[in-house]
Amino acid sequence: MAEKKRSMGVAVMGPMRSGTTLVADLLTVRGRSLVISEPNLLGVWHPTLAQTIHRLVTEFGIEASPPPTAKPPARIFGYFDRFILPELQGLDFWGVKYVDLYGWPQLFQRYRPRKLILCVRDLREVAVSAIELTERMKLGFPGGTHMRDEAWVLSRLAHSVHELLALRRLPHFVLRYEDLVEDPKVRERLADYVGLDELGTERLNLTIERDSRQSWESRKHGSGVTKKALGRFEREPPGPVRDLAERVWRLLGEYSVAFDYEVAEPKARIQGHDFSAPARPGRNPVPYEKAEIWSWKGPRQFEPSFARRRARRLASQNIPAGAVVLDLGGGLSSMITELPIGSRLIHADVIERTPQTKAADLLHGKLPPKGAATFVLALDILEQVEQPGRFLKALRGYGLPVLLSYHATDDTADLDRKALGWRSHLSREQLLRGLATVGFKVTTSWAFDGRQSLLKLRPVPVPALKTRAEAEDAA
Amino acid sequence: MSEEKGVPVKIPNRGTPMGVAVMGLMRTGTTLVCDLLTVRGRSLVISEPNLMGLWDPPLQLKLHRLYREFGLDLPALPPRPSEYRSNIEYFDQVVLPQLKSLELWGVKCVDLFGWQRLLRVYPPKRLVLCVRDLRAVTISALELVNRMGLVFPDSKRMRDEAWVFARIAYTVQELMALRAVPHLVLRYEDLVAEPAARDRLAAYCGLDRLGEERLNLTIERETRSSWELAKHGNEITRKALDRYDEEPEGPMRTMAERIWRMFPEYSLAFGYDVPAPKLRIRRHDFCVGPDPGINPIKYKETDVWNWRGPKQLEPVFGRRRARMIVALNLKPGAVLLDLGCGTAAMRKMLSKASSHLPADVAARAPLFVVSDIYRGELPPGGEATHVAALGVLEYVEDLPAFLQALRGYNLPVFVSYYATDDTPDVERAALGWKNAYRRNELMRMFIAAGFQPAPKWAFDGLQSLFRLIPRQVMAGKRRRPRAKIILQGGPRAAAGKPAPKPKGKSKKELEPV
Repeated sequence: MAEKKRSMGVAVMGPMRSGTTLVADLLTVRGRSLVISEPNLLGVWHPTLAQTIHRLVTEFGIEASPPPTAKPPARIFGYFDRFILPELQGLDFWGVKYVDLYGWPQLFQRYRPRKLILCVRDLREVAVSAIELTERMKLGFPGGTHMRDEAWVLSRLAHSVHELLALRRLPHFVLRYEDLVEDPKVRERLADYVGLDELGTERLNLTIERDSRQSWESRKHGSGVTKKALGRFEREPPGPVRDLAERVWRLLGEYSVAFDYEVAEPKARIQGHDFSAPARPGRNPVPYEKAEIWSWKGPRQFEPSFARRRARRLASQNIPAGAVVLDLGGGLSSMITELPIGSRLIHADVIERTPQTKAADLLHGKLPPKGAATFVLALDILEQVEQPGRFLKALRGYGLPVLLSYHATDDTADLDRKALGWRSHLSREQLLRGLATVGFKVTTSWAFDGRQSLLKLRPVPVPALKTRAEAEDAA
Repeated sequence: MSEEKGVPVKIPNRGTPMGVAVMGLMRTGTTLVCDLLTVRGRSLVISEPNLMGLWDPPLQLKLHRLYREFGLDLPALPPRPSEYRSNIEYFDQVVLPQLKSLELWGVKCVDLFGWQRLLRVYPPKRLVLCVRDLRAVTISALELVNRMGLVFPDSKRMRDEAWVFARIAYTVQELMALRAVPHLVLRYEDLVAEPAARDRLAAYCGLDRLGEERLNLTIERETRSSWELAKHGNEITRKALDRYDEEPEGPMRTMAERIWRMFPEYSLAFGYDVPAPKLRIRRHDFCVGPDPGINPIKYKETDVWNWRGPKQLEPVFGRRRARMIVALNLKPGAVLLDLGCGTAAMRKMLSKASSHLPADVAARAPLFVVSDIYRGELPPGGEATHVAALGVLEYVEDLPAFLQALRGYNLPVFVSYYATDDTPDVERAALGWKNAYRRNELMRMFIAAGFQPAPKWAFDGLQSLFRLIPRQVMAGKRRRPRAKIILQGGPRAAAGKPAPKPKGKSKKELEPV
């Protein structure tokens, strides 16, 4: 097909959770324009995705042949170009929206966009929202064997930020999510930019999403544009997710400057990191393909989310088969895919991120009831607890075997613990003493990844002589 | 590196490596770094050798002194002007062979035009980027311009605030591009405050100790070296920190802040405070684009004394335009008291028979008279025959009182103002302006203060200029201001003929530019 015929009216690009699907729907007006969400046109053939595209196009009112079941093309565009694109030519315009920005130069080479919209949002909000999305949809790494984790969220956001900074070199329209949902004039400007006299009012692109996403989002926002998702970061209580969000924001100040968001204080900024923005955009420092591997080790620098990934991996080899595991780590329930056969996960967090989450004030040692749990996981959480004694005592209260991870001060002399948001600073010896005091027998694997230790705790009777206060003090 | 005035110097791409290149904004401690990296018999870093430029006798005289002081084996007399066509020719033939025997040699540049070419010819093994908070850089640059009486290269007119603004903006863009080359960032604030930063510098350049002499400063003009040596002696002191904090309110402080607000990318890249989103200046011709390798500012334009600057309203460029008109309206022999002048640029615009008395809220050079101008405390008029307050009125909170004080001189006064009628789209608070008056309000204030105003409304599209003649206090009925008559001016000169004498009594029209 001639290159001219393949050019598209608009491309909507942005990091996940920056309102790209909403924008795709606002720019979709029956009979006039259609913006397709995540068609992955250059990707290898994927029957489900091809079906989704076909469903969207049919819902929109275009009759197109369904994807071939026999002898499918090698890539999605083989189907799209032949059966969908000719139908789209009759519209005022068509376009795509992507949050997976890998390979956009090739996409734009094949389907040159006449207009480009860059969707952005405060990175802290994006991170908190991305955790919720991952948790609600139980997003998996390619292959589906392992659930995506916090380290993936960090890597993906960093990757997208660098691609966005490179995309800025093309003529574009910046659309801040905060303005989009708050200011009707911004929506008018959006319509003007693409040449529509009015924006779409249906949520076609949201409807074709998996139920785990669309039902939740539709319930939250209805079919309108609401401000309910603003202030996500403000509402997020202290804990691993808030720390992750802040860390992403501190790491990628260039994005905040480019798109007019607040920037961290000089001392709080993370500089000289493998994921930091290069002096000239274009060469992405985050390797996309490696970031899609569940066991990728990540940047050379210490990253708590990657440490958590390592702790989970080691912990998974130490959980007995058939265990009902109470995970006190908060954040994502990625352990769910790492458990031995016959095991079950009860996930606790500082906030009820999904209906299945047990919310509890973990950082203050107020742990959730154990329920049916037979085993407890406390990975990457003790560092964030201000009174570790109280936390350990509550942990002992379960009377269950525990796997605990910790970065002892002996092993982290090179880290600025406060900059990582850590609130407890125990040496190996202090930790062992505290555990003994509250009544745990400990098997240690000190600094298994160079810094982080994993401890197997088995409850034993507490020595009778010490009072409660003494035990807490000692811990 | 900037002396390429259309005559390119032919340079073979030799690829002779140099040990270190020190690059940075002016007033970021680059000369100090040069001297720290210069250790007799071991290393020499040459300040501003302009290697890519045409033969420059005064520069070569200065450098010759440096080479001899350092101990290079050069003839006692500098080369004759006819001997070499370019600076690099002499450098390569005579100086470089001697430098090669040193552990380290290098150059420092604050004029970053054409750095790519320089680094291609002499690829540096190390690159030091010198930076400093942009607000402090701006205030310090104003002082340098005034103390040294820096002039534009194409005329002998003095560099002004607009040049400082444009040059800093240009250099910031180049520095952002230079970050793509492996480098060490050296913040002036750390350099002077932390011995550890100096240790890092030495280690980076492979020196076990830093130099203690000020060879590169000594060869500078007396106007600079004596002032800096008097301030710091031979020591590294913190005396130049807090330049911005010490700068009083007024257009120069606002300009410094404006530059800082325009380049959050620089502040982010080099670890300085970044202005809040609402304060950042966007969609401006000088802003850093998405690709830092493409400088939106043309260097050569910044070096033209009457360049009009960016498309957007920039008060310092407005001030430049106002000065040009006022200079045309002053007769030889005039003594101008220049209130609130950030630079004494007006001095070189006046005829030789005229004098210039600079006055501002800070002593930017020895001749400056200091007073709290924006609070209406004006300096004594002295020998002045005229007064100018250009780019000043907008920053005064109590304008009627200020005008009364101006009237106290009992001299003709030139003032400029951006009336709200002419600037409806301008966000005045964002420019640091303290008042907002319409044309007719201004005229009433001038008259009430005892002036007879002659306006030149929106002479550059936005800014108006007024000649205020002190009105004699008369017992009889008040006369209406004759502004309109003056504004219309007299008959114009036909081509090649002198202007006919204007009819009417007073025709003191402001000269068009």
